[in-house]
Amino acid sequence: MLMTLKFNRQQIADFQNICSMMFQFNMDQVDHICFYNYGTMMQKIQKMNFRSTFSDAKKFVLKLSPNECDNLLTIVLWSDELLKKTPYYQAMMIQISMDIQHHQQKSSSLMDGKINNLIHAN
Amino acid sequence: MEQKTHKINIGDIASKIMQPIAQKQATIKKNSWKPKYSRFKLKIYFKDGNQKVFYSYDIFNRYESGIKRVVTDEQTGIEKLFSYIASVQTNIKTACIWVTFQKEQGTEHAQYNCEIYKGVNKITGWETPTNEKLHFANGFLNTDILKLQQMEKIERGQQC
Repeated sequence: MLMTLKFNRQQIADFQNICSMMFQFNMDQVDHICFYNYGTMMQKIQKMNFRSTFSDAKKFVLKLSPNECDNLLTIVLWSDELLKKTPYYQAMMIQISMDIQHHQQKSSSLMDGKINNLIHAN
Repeated sequence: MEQKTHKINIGDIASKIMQPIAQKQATIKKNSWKPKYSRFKLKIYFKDGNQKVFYSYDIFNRYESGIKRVVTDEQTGIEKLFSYIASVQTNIKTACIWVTFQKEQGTEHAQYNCEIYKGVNKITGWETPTNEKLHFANGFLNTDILKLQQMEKIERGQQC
């Protein structure tokens, strides 16, 4: 189930900046698959940033796969020291990570419900 | 009055029916090609129930200033496997990579008994229960460190 993150026009460039900064900060720790997923996510953000320059829309939507969300969460956790220095970015990333965690809980509970239904049906 | 009786052997009929299927399976096995020598083995379990085995391609050709050379690089071999896992990560359940310490015996006879990577695809994201750090020198895997790690695990009573 894809996750949708909503951004204001001003937030997109900041989000791209902090994502690239966090990646550089944890370059030595990242896994090969994490590297791949984070790369695809950065491409999506870059596209969104590019689109924002040619449109008058106020809000933009970023769709992330569950694996990308998980990798973003792990990198946010690793770059705690970096985020402490900048309260604006910290607040933004906390909000995003909260949204992701909420989505993960929701999807897992949905899956549990489906499994329970299957068990009762059998 | 004589009664004609025909004995039907079910085993023969079953073997006759199964013969073309067995032949086809044999040809498929014959056609599936794998390298002579490979350090790593990857097994992928897909969500639809299929499972596939891949071996790392450590020996390959490389053009350096217009000259063709045969290069043995185990690091690029495992990187290719990882990139394949990353490309199909949405469709798979689990992916395991094993390493062999008997590369000289060939892929058919070597035992791939040391697990170095295991990835499980869950709803919340990709989880890695085992993810060993590998050390490469001049394109070759340092197997001594892996053997020592394995020995330590056995001493502690953990599974390798």
